[in-house]
Amino acid sequence: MQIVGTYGARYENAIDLSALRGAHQPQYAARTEIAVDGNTAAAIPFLQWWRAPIMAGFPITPSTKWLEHLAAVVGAGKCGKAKRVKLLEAEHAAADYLVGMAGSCRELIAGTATSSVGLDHMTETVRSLGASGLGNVMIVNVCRATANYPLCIEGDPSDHFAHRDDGFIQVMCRGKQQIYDTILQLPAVGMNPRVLTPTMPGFFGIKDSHRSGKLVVEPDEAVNSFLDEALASTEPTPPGLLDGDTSMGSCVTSAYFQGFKVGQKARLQAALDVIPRVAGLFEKRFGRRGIELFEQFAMEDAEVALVCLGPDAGTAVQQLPRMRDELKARVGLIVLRVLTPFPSVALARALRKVNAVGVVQHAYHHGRGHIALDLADALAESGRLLPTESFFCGLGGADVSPSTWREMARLTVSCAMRGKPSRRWHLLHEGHELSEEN
Amino acid sequence: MARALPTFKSHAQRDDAFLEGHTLCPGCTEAVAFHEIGRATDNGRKTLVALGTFCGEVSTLLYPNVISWGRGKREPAEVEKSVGIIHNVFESAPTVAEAMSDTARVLADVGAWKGPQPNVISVSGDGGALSIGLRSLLHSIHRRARVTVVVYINEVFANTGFQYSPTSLPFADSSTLPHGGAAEPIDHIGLAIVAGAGYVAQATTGYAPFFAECVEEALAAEGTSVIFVPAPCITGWKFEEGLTAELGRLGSQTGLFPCFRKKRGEPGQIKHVPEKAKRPGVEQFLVGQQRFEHVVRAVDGKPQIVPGRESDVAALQSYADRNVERLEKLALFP
Repeated sequence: MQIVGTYGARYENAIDLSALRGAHQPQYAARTEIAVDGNTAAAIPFLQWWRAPIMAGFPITPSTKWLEHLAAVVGAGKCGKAKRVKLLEAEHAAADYLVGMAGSCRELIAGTATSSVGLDHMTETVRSLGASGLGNVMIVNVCRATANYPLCIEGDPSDHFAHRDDGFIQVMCRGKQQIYDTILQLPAVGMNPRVLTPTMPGFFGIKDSHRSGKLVVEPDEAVNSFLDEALASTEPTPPGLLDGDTSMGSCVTSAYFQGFKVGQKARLQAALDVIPRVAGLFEKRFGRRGIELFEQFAMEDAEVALVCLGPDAGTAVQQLPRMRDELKARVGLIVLRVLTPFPSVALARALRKVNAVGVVQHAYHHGRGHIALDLADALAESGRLLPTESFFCGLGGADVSPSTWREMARLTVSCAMRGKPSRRWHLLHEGHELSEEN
Repeated sequence: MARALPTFKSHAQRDDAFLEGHTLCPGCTEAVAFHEIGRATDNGRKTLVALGTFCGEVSTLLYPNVISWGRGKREPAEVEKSVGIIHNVFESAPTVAEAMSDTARVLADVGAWKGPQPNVISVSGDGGALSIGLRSLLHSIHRRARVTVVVYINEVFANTGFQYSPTSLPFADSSTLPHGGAAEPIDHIGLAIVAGAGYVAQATTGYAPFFAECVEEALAAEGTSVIFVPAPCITGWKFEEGLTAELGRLGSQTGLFPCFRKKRGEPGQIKHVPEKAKRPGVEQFLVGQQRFEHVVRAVDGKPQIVPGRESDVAALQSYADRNVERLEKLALFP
């Protein structure tokens, strides 16, 4: 028995994790190339981790396939006694279940997937989880418009943004490989003793969840030893409820509440330090880029930049040479990955040489947009006032066409020349404005 | 094979897992019940507790006060004596407990948890379990979760200031329904039985040996066990201190909250409810509680119905009588 800080006692040998590891039935013995949709790519890590014995879920479009895939594999007896799929009666219950599972043993990974109003239904518990210190919780959010007036089942990250203050580490993905790789890495971030913050990888519904593509799956042995290596720490793991004499979820008065919040904020910010280290280990082991705070394309000499996220960025990357040629301007592109904590310092540094920025957003916002606000704050913190065009496009999963990307680039170049935006915000589709003058 | 249950004496001599430091009202039913649960769980098994949000949570897990949960003055040397306790949100204690139970079970199935299956207990108020948390309660029962669910029924949302709850007795004054309404309480025992609970009891701490027996039986039962604990609330019901046990007994004797227990597949048992002709009238229970002062008052030390409120008392008496009849039928539920 060992006393761990203020957490209480931990009974070191109460849970024999080597037995759980030994009972794991590997799904992939060697590196394998397959064609899968995004939901399946997000499900495979949970089958490969020996640390994930129970996967909880409740179906909601477009994330349902994540649960169905796990249920099919586990139901076919391919995981032995070491894995269960837990079907709950609602998303709120799924989130509650993660609390109990993750709290019981902090070395396990407790995960689910959801979307849109499903994530909204979890809100009460998700916001508690964000402050809980249970970094071994992962909620895969398959982005879908929220809420239901009108109901739309296609991908837009308004659900993700509605929950950006819940306390989770939010990382946006595009493409099957990035989904799989990101999920493989995130427990190493969230469960780091300095971080202890739950994680929420996200990817766009339909555009990424339902379209198939190539995926390189790594062998289970490498997946698990990478995580073990990344989690290796000299700091003792706090006790769980099962292997500890401990309590979680106290109630406090205002005299102490702020102290808890200071700790929560420090843990979340520490993720910005831990992510590059984990990404480095990932790249060294697997040869692919680990989680970047954001991706950069043609930013070396850029004089204007577009800042975006999600799968439509692929069109923008493809259009960059044409933009530069037609506009006679050096246009660069930044694709955001880590949304919370927002990488303000790094982003301001990446934009230090551009004269204007166009922020491309796919989620409804009452003003100039979630990212526009965060970016303005990041630039202000760095002492810069950068002309910024705010763009909305692809709402509800609508296509973002090449002509829309080129129009956004044109307006951003004009913004640089004018020194201020042409409108408060734009809503574009097929290269045309959909909104009245504003 | 069924576990042999301890005698009440040996139960009372065990190490309690509920200690000093809580801020519950003096004489509160919840504290008395916590002690019984604390002793029952000293059975060679690890103890896991999930709390909903209710008086029993805010008064026992208040940082930086001493956490009231734990066995002994120091962390115990053996994990079997230890307590892991968690509060999540208002309404989901059964689901959180179910997750803890499942986790222990899957670890045991692969040999990673070598001890016996832990005692896993969820504790909520009636608001947390029967109002906002009914979904969590019924679905954990429906899934046959291997947990013991304890629900304190004080008939109001006490933690927020004694508002009307779906468990409120008719005509009980509350801060959101002055002088109460005519609606009868939700049939919590019926819901638990029909949902498939392995063991259902209603037990007052006023009958301590029966209460202790029910907790022991619940912990030993297969499937989901549910114990409803009628909880006379000194502050909410507004009665003299020292009467909680007596009101608990009267609640049973009048038929308003009969002591009851039933194992799934076996006939149930109603306890501490006299034959109808010998039962005290409901006014015996109502008198002395300010929440019913507009209905029944003490005159010369005896309950007297407030003029004009005769039909209300008759309705309450009818409910109490039908309550016993309903339980007699539920006792025979297959």
